[in-house]
Amino acid sequence: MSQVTVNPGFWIRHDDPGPARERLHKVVAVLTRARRLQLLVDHGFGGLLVGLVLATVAVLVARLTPSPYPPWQLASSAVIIALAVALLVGWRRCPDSLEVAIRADVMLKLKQRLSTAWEFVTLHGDDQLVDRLAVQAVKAGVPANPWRVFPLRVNRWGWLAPLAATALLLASVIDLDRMQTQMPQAIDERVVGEGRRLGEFGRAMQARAERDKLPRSARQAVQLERLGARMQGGALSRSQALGQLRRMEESLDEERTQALAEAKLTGSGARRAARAEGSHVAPGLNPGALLERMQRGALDSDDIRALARRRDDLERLGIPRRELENALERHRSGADDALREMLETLAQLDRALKEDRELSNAREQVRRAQDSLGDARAGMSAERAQMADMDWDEDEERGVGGDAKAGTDGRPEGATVGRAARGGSQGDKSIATGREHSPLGPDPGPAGRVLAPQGQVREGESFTSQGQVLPRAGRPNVESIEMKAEFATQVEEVLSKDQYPAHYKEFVRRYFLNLSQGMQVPQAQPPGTRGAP
Amino acid sequence: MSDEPRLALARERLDAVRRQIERRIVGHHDLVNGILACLLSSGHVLLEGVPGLGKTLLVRTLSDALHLDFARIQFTPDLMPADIIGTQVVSQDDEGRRHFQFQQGPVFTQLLLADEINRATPKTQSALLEAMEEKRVTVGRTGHALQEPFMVLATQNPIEMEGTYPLPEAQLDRFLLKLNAAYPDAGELAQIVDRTTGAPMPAVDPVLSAGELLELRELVRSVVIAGHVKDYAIRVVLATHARSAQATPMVRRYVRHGASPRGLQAMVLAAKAFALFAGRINVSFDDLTAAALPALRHRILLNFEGEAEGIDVEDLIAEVVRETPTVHGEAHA
Repeated sequence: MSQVTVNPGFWIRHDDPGPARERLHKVVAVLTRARRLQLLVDHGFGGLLVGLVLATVAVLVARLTPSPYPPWQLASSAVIIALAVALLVGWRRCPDSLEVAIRADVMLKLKQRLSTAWEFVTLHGDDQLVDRLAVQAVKAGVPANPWRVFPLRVNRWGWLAPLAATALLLASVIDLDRMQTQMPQAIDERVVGEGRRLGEFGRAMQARAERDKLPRSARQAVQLERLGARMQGGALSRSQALGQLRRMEESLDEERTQALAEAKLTGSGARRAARAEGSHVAPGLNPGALLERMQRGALDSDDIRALARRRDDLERLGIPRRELENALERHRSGADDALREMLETLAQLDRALKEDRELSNAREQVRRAQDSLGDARAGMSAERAQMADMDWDEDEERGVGGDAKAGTDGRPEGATVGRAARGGSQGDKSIATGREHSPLGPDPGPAGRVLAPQGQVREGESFTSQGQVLPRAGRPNVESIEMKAEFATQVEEVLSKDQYPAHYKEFVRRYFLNLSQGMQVPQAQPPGTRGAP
Repeated sequence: MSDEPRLALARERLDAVRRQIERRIVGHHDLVNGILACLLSSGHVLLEGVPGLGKTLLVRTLSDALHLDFARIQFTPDLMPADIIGTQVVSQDDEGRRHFQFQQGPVFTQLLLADEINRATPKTQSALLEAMEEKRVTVGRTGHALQEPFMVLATQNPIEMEGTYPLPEAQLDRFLLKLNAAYPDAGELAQIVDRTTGAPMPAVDPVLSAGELLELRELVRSVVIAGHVKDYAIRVVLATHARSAQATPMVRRYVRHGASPRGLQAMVLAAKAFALFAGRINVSFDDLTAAALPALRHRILLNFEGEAEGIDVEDLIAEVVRETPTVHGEAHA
């Protein structure tokens, strides 16, 4: 094989001096370079088409499902990656010079003069025949412009690329919700009804969130309203709606957690204390307004007194009494920095609690919709959420989480807390006193526990139900108090109205009278029976 | 001598032969090209056509244009092998002693016209086998070499098949090409009438000697064929075999036996001759496709189904050529 080294330009010069064999090398080298560029362009179009198709799919997926990445980012990434891979493959696929010569022969109708000469030049070494073939090939009429042989053309992938780009554009701008709404589907009235309810709630929540400047709640309200609209429009089947509701619930939980984390309220006693006060840092105390007045220099003595009165509440929220008193003292002496800092903390806390309340309400609505649509998992997730609220696993609860008992059905006791809370009437503070009626999961410990789950029946203000979890059985933590009840009057009144069997009336009267007198209840049996009445 | 003068000289000589033939023969350009390709490829040619198309006249004219010995055998059913290759006759020398002496038959020539070869019996047809393949004749225990160049030009009539003996496959395979004489068009017919019904047929001058012909044969053999072009020829031949992976659907269905290796040789040799005609020293795909039909048409044997359905072998070859890809997987145009 000839060891001729050539460094051709992009054009074939037929007036090149030198033997035919060298000219043949130059011709083939130039053609090979042109072919390589052609392959690169061909692969580029292929990669572009694949990238556009992938981008279209990515955009659709991103728009139809919650995605952490914006659609344009996914689309551009898909196109760039596909294009890069295709160009890399094209670059690595270096064309064989003999293949180039054969293609050039076919393209230029050279009757295999070029390829035959090139094959003999590369394989058969130096002899007269090779020179003769080279002369014949060089004279055959290879064009000076190699692009005539291997033009940089738009191949079939290239022609399809505009179609894919159009599809990507449509996938980006088209109203998928409306399209889905227009699709003929069997309308599920219950889904539609829940969608209507969620939509209305979302609008109201959005108004409240904007009024109170709650960005997280506002975002979630928009999502909730949009989901409600899709459900109401019949775009979602029941299973699809349940799937979307589950995702909505997770999103709400996540936002709540983040809102509380920002205010450093996760799992702290301050959070519980604040909730116990009805989702305010302290009843009747508006830290935001106080801060504003302070910044205007309009903080008066009434405000200071109100703060001083609330020192117990504030201490529960994590502001030590001494610190408060120092801040107030400093304020009185003209230095506002400590009080301002404290009020800012309280304002942040207040906003987080409002976010928490709004998001909790929204979650409750979502759960209700799930219940209505028959989601078996809704109850489980509600329990988990409620359990998370209760912070059973807090260290300060003195071994509460260690001896949690599971119910007979595998659920922890207290599985109906969420439902009990939802079932409560607005403003009602019912006391859950029976473990069998309000199984509260893990043993609350000897100190017992006060619960304040929140809920909302429809849009509007939420309510809080307060519950008392009984202390661990057999281990009371309060002193026994002797209480004497006066039952004599009530017994006579009841016995006169109700129809008790005559032979029982004396027994009942004696029983209650004994109670009134603080006497031990006799283990007497009623006449004719062996058990208690 | 460099290629260009040699090629120019070869083309000049061949053009001279063509011109001489065209003095008598109207049209039949493909036929003339095929015969010349056979002549230059040291092969034999089988001409097939209905009577009256000028097959015999073409061969006679060719012999007139060449400085070669010419003999003609009219094949008939009673023709015997000895009538072709010769026989031992008793002769008496000057001293009165008698001995057997070989009397050469008409095969001892350079151009042999075997007219209507399918009218002779297979035994007689077979008498040509050794002569065609080995360029020699064996009588008794003595072999007799034939002159170089030696070429058989046989004709046969595709109609009037009664009383004929179709050539056996082995005999057919000896012919490098089988050429079909096409019917002339109206213009050619007018010229034929003018030439043959008026003045006497013009004389043809011999323009190519045996030596010059052998030089041309050498030149044809020097034409090169590139590996990828040769590979294409091989795939075409393989595609004529029903069990080959390259076989086309028609081949799989209708072919009993495909082309032999001798068919590949014939195709490449004829393609080389065609390349020389075109002034090239390399074989192209086009040369091979041009040679495929005459080189393979008599080497492919149809099965019963193909015969029953009247499948034309030429259609089958055309499909094979069309469907066989070149090196890049692109069908040859």
